[in-house]
Amino acid sequence: MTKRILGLVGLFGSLCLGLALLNGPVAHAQSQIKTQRVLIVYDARNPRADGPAKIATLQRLLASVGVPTQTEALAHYHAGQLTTQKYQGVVTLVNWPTDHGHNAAFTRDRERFTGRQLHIGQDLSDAEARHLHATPQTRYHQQFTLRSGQSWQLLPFSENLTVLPSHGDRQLGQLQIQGTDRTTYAYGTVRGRYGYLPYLANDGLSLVLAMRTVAKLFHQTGTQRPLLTITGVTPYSDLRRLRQLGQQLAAANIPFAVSTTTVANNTALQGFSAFTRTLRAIERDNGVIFLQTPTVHAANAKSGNALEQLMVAQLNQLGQRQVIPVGLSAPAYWNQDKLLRRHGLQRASDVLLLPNPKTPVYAQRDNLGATYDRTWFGLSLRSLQTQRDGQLTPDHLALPTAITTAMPTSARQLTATMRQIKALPVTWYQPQQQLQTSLVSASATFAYRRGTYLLNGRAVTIGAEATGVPRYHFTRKNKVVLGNYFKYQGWILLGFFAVTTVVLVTFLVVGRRIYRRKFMR
Amino acid sequence: MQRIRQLTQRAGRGVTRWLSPAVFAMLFAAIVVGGLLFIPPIHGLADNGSFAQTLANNGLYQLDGYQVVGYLNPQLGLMRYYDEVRSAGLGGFSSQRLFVGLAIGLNKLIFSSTRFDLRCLGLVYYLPFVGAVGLLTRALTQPYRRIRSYVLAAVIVVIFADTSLTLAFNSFYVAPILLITAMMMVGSLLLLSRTTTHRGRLMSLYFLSATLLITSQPQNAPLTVSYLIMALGGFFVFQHPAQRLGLVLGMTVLVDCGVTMGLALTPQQRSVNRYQAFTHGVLHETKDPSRALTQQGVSQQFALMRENDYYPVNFTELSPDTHYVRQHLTRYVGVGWVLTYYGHHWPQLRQLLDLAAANLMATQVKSVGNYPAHSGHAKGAQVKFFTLASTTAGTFFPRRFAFDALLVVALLLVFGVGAYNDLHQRRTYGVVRFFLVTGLLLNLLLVPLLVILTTGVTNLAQNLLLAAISLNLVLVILVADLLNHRLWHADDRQVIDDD
Repeated sequence: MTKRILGLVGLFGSLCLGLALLNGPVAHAQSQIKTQRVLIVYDARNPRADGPAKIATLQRLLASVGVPTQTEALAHYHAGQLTTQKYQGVVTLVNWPTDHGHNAAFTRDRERFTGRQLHIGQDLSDAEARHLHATPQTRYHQQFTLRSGQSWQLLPFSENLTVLPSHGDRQLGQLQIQGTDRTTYAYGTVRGRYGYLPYLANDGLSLVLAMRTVAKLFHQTGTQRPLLTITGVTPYSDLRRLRQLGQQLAAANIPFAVSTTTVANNTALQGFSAFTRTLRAIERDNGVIFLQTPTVHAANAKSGNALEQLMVAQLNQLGQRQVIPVGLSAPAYWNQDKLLRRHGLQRASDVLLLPNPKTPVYAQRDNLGATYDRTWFGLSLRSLQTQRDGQLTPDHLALPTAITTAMPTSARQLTATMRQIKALPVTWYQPQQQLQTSLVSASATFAYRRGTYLLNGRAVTIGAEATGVPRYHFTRKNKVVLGNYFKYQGWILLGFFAVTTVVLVTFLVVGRRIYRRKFMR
Repeated sequence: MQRIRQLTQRAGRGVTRWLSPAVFAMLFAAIVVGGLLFIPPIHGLADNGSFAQTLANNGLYQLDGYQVVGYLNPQLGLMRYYDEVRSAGLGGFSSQRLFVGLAIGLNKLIFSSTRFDLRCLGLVYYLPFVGAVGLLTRALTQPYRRIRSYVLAAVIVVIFADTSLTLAFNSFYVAPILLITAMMMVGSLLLLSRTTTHRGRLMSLYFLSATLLITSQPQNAPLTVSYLIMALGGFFVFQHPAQRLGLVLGMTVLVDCGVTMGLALTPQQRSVNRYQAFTHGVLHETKDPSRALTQQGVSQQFALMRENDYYPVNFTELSPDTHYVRQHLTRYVGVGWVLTYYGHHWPQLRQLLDLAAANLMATQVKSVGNYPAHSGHAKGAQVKFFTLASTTAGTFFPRRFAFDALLVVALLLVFGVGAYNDLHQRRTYGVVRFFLVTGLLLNLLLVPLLVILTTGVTNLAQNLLLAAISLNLVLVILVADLLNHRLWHADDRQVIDDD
């Protein structure tokens, strides 16, 4: 008997080994593509010119394309880094044009580099220009209009801009000088594995075109519809207004997503059931929920456990009440931090990356951007609609994009937001027909399959009221030995003192009377 | 046998001649506290996150590898050039600046002009503390030099040089100022009524200490009342109109300081206080406050912030320092709102007061470490040396606010009898002592109440410290006067001035 079992086990083992050997090389090659990073090299942070935000935008763009990144300052680049086969591409971001960083090793290595290359900003080298088959021209003190199809945007006045001439099918969007000389230039240029952008903006039409440029460079040719996303929702938001917003969007037949934070504690209070009731109503109004990661107040390399526990608790508390988030939303810097990525984001297939807060608090920064099954790029609705400066139809986007608008804080804002959304001539992304996601907390798996919510693989019906909430949430007090004594100690002593005081006062009165009587006599 | 007894008696007499109880107490305290503070590895209280403002106000900065909560930082950086925060006058004023300024001067003189050694600050607190121990012991034991006087001196040192109180000397908390000035005030007022010389100086010392105490932190502003009551005793000592005018002047200065400190709260501090009074007070000790909040015009959702800190330890769903929270919560929940709330929820207030009473005598700050890093001690390790008094009191003192209130009544009765008798016999000691004790006991009742109304039941060991010190002082006075037989009426023996 044992012999037969041993034989079977041996057979099974050898089979597995054979399969592994057969599959090995293929899997290996695929994983290399996935693990090969794109190196982002920037010359200076230059906070005065919004440099950090541009770096973050670029990181988000590449994450949405689906390539892992590594970000590095030009000064930290060391010779030979690019030629080690570690990278599939390199992006040069010039934030501070007037020669604020120079690294001969980088320039040399970049010339020899055989992967994809993108240059953003001034200081285009001769070699790069040669690869792009174009002669760069620098325009000083000009104002440009950016155009693409029906959309256009008037750009702010620029000091100097290095532009490439217009060229039919290689260009994405065109820049036209304002005024008498109406020469046109290319905005995005892609030729083979080389790309160029004269500047990078954090929103608006420029960004939509930059998105297209980056996608084209990395051979992402499909178009995507934008997902309408309400951001900045917290358990403390005006729930009635959130409910109204959901109803109005549903009435207008606009599918949407809500990005909200939640709490892990105090979930037995009425506030939490009201909050989850609203979120369920949103789910029933064809909205999907992104769980916004918490604000990092202070964190270091040891905060992993705390974050893990917090995220799991938050997800489980929501899941128990049939609120099933389809993904996570976070500021961009979460994806550049080892700990926040590992214990926060990596549990989700869908991650929505939003612009960074003013002062990001890192836990364990490593500047290595990871990728997810789908990384949504958060783009603000407001930046698309500036009456004076142009108009934009963000219909055919190159990358998964979430058009974000903040949760309205007054009735008037609610009306204004609704008007803005309705005015946008766009076909919105429909999660109910297209979206498939999964999200793992420690003990549970949340999934969304085109309109169906799944909890641990089982379909969940979302009713108005939560079902199956365990009722053991009240806080438990620790039992202490002698606890009862301490509980009543105060009262016992109080009684003792009261009696003593009464006796003392009686004695005082009696004694005084005796004393006085003595003298009366 | 006879000889041995004679020898010990002679030795005892020799000791008592050369070593008064006050000097004995000072030596004892100096050795215990000095060893704790200055001999490496030094001891102190680690930063709980609140030092940043104080450091910036005083031109100090955190060096690389600065530790928060777990370990003490023995050294800090001294700003050498322009100090933006200080020149902008952002931080609220505190008398602590005088002490820290003195410490920085001392540091520059003996140590370095770029690095600040924490022990300099320890030393700046240490010297007046030893003086205060001497003054208090002198006030409570003079003119006797009996065995019991030395025992009393030892008790005073055990209580007031307790590690839980003196650890704060090596830190930027205001606790040392509270301790030193409270002892100075009691010592000076008790001596005042039993001496004929240096009365002006003693009264000035009282006013100086009271000023320093009131201006040490904004929370102390309402306590001005207690210190005014204490000063009333002065009117029975000083009969001359000019002297009384001086008293009135001193009291006016105290009132001014109180008002100034009341207004000196920065908007930031106000937000912190309001937020924590809400999350750690209003939302504490209640089952579900949702409906009560709605009734008072605040969204029930904010109940979910229960137990949140203004400065979260790591992560938070919504930072309290955001426009939204200011607009929808902290704008409303001022002291008036909180008072109205408790007005409708008496049982909750009583429970909170009991919670405060339970933590009243536990003066050791357990939340932060006492050792520097690399000293071989675990993170957040606590000193056990010389904590007998605080540990015992923290364990066995009754945990009911009602008990505290009753204790106040009982003690007032006892000291009131002494005051009544002395007033009849035209003696001042009992009267001055009665006003002093009244002020101290008022502290005992006011501090927990104010803490609940303004900052919530958080960080109780530090916030209730003044109440604990006040109670300790009253109890020491009680014991001392019992031992010296002047509890019910003053004796005629005065302080000998050649001590």
